[in-house]
Amino acid sequence: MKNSGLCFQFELKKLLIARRGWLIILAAILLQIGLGCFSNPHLYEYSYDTKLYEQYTEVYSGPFKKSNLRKMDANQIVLDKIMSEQTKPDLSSVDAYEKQSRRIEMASQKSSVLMAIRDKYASFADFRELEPELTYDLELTDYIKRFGMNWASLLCIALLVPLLMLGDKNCGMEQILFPTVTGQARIVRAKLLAACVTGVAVTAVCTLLQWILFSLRWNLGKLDVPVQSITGYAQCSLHSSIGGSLLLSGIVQVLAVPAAVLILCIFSALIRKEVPVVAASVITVAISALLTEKIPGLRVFSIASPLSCMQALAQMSGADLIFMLFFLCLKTTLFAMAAFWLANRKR
Amino acid sequence: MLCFTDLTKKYGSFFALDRFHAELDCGIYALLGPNGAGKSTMMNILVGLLAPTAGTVTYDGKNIEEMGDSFRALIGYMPQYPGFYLGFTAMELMRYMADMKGLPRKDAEARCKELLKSVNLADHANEKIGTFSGGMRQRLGLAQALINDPKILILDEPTAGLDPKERVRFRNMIRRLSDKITVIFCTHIVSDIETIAKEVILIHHGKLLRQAPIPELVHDMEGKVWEILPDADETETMLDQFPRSSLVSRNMQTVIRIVNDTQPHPKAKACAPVLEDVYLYMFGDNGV
Repeated sequence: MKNSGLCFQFELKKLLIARRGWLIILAAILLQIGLGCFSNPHLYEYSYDTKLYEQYTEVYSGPFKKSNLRKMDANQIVLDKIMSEQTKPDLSSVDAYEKQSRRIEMASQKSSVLMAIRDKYASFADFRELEPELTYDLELTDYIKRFGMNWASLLCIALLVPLLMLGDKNCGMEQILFPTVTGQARIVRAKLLAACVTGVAVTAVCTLLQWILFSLRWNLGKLDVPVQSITGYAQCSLHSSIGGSLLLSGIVQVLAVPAAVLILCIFSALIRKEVPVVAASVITVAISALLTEKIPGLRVFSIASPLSCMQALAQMSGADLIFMLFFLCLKTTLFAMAAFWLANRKR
Repeated sequence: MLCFTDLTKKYGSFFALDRFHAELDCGIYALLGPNGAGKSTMMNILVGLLAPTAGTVTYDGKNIEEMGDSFRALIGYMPQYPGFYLGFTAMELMRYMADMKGLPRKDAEARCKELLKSVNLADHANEKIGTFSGGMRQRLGLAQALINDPKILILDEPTAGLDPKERVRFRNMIRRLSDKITVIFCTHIVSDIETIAKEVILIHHGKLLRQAPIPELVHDMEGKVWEILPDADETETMLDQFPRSSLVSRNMQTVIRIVNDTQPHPKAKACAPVLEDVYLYMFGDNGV
């Protein structure tokens, strides 16, 4: 393709040097450092069932232990006993009957959760048995949970993409560049590629910073033990170590960036005015942050939902992960086609 | 041969171009018309920035849309008020444009220097464009348009912001080039083209009014241009009465020059028409 490589180089040069995009990237890195140094782990509002599930997984998580199995058996016996009261209702008073009903219902819920945990526990017993006894403190759990969205890099991208996509139009160069032999299509392609590469690079740098800062704040301990050793990850179906899972989450996080970048490119191609595009991009990122962080049920609508992968890993199987990556590729391809078509169309 | 056939551009119910038809060969073609006549639309379609609603543009019999890259390699375009990256130097911009226009790097450096010299910017080659005056930016706009040695040069109001000396220099440069290439010169300033244009294309409301050489257009105006020495109290009345009129000085006296099909006043005397009279006749008071 004629001039494509050069065109890409020029787009990066224009963005980073001529339009001072490096200042925005520097600001994002500083923000990331600030967030990494001063933020505290946050609490999520879960439903009662989720809380119960978490309590159980926290109690029985960690390396496979026979003592844990014995505790589970003992717990199950107690729960079975309570549930068997169903056949002998306490009819001495209304209060006593209601109290018994509530107790039975609670035992039933706990029992089903316990059974699910036992299943998972059993499936991973083979490789868990190989590990020595380990206990991770709560900070590591918080650390793992914090590998969600990289908001500093997304905010940076929300500011950089309009600069890149609309810079030529705003300074009047578009009408000079498009009629050249390089042509509109190659220039638009170079812009989309430059936007994705910049987004991926910024996110990779911010993620790396995040890892370094968290490892300095909280000692990460052994990264080569199964991820199921971490409190709350007993039910994770991935055959992976903590280090492997972290790396996987980092890779998925970076892979998810082009999809988010391309959505912002679509905004630029549709709106074609820098200030409204920046406003729309920042609002979209903010709403995504809100959806992802505060309302886990609505996470799927977030602009970069795959970025919260590490939290989802706790409930994810290998097949889920492959499906998620396939969906991510599909989404990125569709967004790329839409962004190219919109930015390349003649008015 | 560049040929526009029934070229139409419609925005809703508004026709920016309405079955425009013209044929252009080597030489300078002046595109004349008032604001909103469709000149910029026509040029934007030609350079590929706009898609026509209907009609075609062909170059040597081939549709320019189908030619794609090979057609864009033939054109040089200088838009009205060209904008540049203000942080680039003139030389950096020229190198960038040379790359975008596919010039080999070994030839580009010399070509950039040669063109900057020809537009009198050699001494400012390493200065940031942000420090340039409007006239300097216009000249840089012309230099970048010429970088690929175009066969079709499209200039949209190229002399806006140039001082008289630069204007003459610019006209001479374009005149020299026009022996081998087609130049489409869009302007409001009649004096810029009356000495160099091979033909004038008059366009109004998106339609071609006339395409003819200047002498022919001027000849057709014979007997339609009048001058009158008004009484002091008549000047304003006559200017109001004849919208296609202008005040000119003759021998320290102010006379009214009127473009009209018939003698506008018993005292009015017929005089030799010029291209500006054609413009007034066609477009003054909304044209003929």
